[in-house]
Amino acid sequence: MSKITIDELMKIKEQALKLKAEKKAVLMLCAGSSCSKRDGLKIKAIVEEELKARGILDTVLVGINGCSGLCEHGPILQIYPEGYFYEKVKPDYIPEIIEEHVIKGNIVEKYMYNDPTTKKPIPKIEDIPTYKLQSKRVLQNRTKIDPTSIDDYIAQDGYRGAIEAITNKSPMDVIGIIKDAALRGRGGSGFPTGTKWEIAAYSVPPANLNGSKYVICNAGAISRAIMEIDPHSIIEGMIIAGYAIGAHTGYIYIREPEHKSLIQLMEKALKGATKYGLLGKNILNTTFSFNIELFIGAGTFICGEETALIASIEGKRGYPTPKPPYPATRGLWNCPTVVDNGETFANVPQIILKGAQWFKTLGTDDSSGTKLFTLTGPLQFNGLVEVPFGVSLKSMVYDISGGLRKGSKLKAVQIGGPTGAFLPPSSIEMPLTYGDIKQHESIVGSSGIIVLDQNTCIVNAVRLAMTFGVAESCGKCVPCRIGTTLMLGKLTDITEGKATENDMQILEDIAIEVKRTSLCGFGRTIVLPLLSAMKHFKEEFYAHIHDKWCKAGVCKTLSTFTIDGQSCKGCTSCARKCPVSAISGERKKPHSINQSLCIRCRTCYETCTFNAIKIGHAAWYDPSLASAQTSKEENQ
Amino acid sequence: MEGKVLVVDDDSYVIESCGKVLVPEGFLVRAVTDGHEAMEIFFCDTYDVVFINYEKIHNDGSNLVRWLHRKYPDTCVVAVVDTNHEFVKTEGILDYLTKPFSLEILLQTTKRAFYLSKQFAPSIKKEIKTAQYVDKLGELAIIVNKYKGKPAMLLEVLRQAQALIGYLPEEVQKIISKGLKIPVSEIHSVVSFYPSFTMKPRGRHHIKVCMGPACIAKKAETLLKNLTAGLNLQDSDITEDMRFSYEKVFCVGACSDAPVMEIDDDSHTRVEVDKVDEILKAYN
Repeated sequence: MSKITIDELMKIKEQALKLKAEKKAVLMLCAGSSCSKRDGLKIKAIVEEELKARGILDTVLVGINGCSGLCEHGPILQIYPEGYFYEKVKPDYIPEIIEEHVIKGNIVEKYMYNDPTTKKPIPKIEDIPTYKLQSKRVLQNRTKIDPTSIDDYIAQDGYRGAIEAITNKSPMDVIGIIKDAALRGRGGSGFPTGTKWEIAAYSVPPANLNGSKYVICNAGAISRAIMEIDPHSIIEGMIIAGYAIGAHTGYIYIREPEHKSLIQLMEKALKGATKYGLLGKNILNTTFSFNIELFIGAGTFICGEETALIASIEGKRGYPTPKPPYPATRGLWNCPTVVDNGETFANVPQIILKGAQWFKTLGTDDSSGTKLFTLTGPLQFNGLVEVPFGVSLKSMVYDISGGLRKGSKLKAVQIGGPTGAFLPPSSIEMPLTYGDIKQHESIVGSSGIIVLDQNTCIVNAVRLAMTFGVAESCGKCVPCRIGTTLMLGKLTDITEGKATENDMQILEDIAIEVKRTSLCGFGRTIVLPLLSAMKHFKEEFYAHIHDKWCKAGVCKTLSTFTIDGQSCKGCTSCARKCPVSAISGERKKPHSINQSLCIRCRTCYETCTFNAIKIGHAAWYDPSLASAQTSKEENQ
Repeated sequence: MEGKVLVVDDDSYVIESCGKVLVPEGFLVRAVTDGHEAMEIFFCDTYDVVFINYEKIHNDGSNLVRWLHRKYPDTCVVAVVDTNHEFVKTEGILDYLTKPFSLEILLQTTKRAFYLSKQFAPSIKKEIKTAQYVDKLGELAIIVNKYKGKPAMLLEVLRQAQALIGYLPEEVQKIISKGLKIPVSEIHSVVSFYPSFTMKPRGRHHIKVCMGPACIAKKAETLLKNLTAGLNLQDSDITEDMRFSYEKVFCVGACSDAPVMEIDDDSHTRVEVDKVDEILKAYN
């Protein structure tokens, strides 16, 4: 196809909009991975058949959209122009929905989502409380477009930012706007994107490589979520970055080869953009040429570190290299390279189109714009959310996620994914900005917020985080490689009741040294879970060490389960669930646990609705020693 | 000319079909009826591929194979065998052609053998001749050839090779080393670094259970327990019938959909830990 012009692009937009406007209704099915698994796409075929049987297939458009985020309520069927949606759609709902809603125009309330508190149906996704509190920028096209269709993206003003940049602005103008907007890298460290681009733009590649520069999209978890919803936003951002720094090649680095469907989706998106001449030689009949290739990695967390990622693209072991030189001056094949997170790129087109001032209307002075987080834990709502910077952690946990589930009490929050710090409930007022998160000695990292309740043992959680550290440490530098193993050993000792108080000091010393001397960000942050837990949850460590008592009952060697005779109603539910039949007792009379049979699996504790199961310190431990220890401390 | 093929067989069908298929493709084909004759011919001229009827040769087929293997290690020997014949992998034989064969298969086998004879140094060939995955080597050669002399494409080649063979044994790494011109030590260092690559054989279906913090919080440990119990696995990570193998992985990056279990290319998110068996039923 010949090079696309701006007029042609506007024509595509009009056509795509007209196509939808002409139809009586547009039915969109969620094609996110969770809905697809619940036969979401089978339902699409059923819908089409039903429409055909009624002879109205020509007046209705049936399409798909990327993950709407309501995975627990899937499959989701949306009906436009109103934008109403039905949850947990089953094949036998279809005839009624089509008859009532599409043909007669009456909504079918019984298949709609009900508000958990008011029990009233909520017809639109954006009216669900959790969505009302979110802002829509990077995810502006969530639930609106088919991720496999470039026309849908163009209809939502897609690629207008890239065209504006390439045809009306000089590269330095583009960098200036990004700098004005104070966009910071969403990948975790929060380096100002405009500055990074500026350095790359002014850097000169080695003479023998003839002016090569590169743009790399580091596709972590959040970027992949964006790709599933709106892949072209990332491609457009990369085109603008390529134009700004003068690069001709871009790579999208997907770490895990397992994401086959995502890889196919991206391949299709890249093909679509190339077909329209938005990628390739002489884009929009200018002298600017830009191509994007997909690069599929082979696992490993460390390849999210930019220098390790570059080594991986060069076909080497994914080892990080010391910085400086930064990739912006000497990156892939020693050429200036901009490595940014997909979320950063997805922000760029809108900044170019709507201006730096618009971008700064959300967020704080320190951190402008919005940020995507993934919420996990015993919450009403789990999943991907977009909020302006500056929203407090409290509002994240209690409002946006709908609060904790019944019976769960907030114990700690881990911010920043697997290498983030554990924060106590007292830090909950903290606003989520780069500065504040850093002040609380955590990282934005992979943007995960994990909420932990009273059923979690912090020591064990730290131990698991350290197991992750041991497994994912690349092994290049000594502090991280050996330090993580040593720390894991000590932590395992604590959870098994073999540690002494001295070990706490040793742990802290190692952690500080690993943080200080590690080569890359991984080593510097892998100790954060440990250091933060030792600071905020010190008593829990000491309960393990001195009292040999895991109060959450997670560490098997440090807990004993007993039944409180007064609370036990003799409902027998624990006895029925016990995998080793250690619980005995008559109906309606207090039960008891045979300690020699008990494997401390916690099943009875989780089953009991009367709080009759008590967790005590390890049975093998003589508590008089502990009291001696405590009195000794008191004396001091 | 593509290459030179010698047919050692007294079956006129084999000789005729070789001539019919291979000559138009540019191969030079010569046919003899016994092993002695074959040896005599080899004194004057060498051949890239030798088709040999393993049983019917007067001069005991295995003698000729051994002789060729010793004297002409660059020649690729393909044994022509009858259906249902339980052939034992013999040192020196690189590929098998089962009678009756279609003409396409004959051409495919010849091309594959030709690749093998041209691609690999004798030392590697000696090792791979007895390997389990010998029938896949032709395709491997094609992959390696595509990226010949491009060391930067190593990850891509390794991924395709693993998709083909299922794992990356030492010999395969040596073949890739030769093709891409990278020391085999470096290839090993890359293979051992990335968790997606494995040097151990895997089951027909490979299961990955995510053990990231988010999944642990959502009972991934119980999931793993149920999985190993359901597959009757004690210490090994592969079932006896090679149907399933499993491994623990750290954070597949789907924390919002915890717990996560991946089987082959499908990822199962928000797995209900008590219903693992039902998920496994779909994989045979």
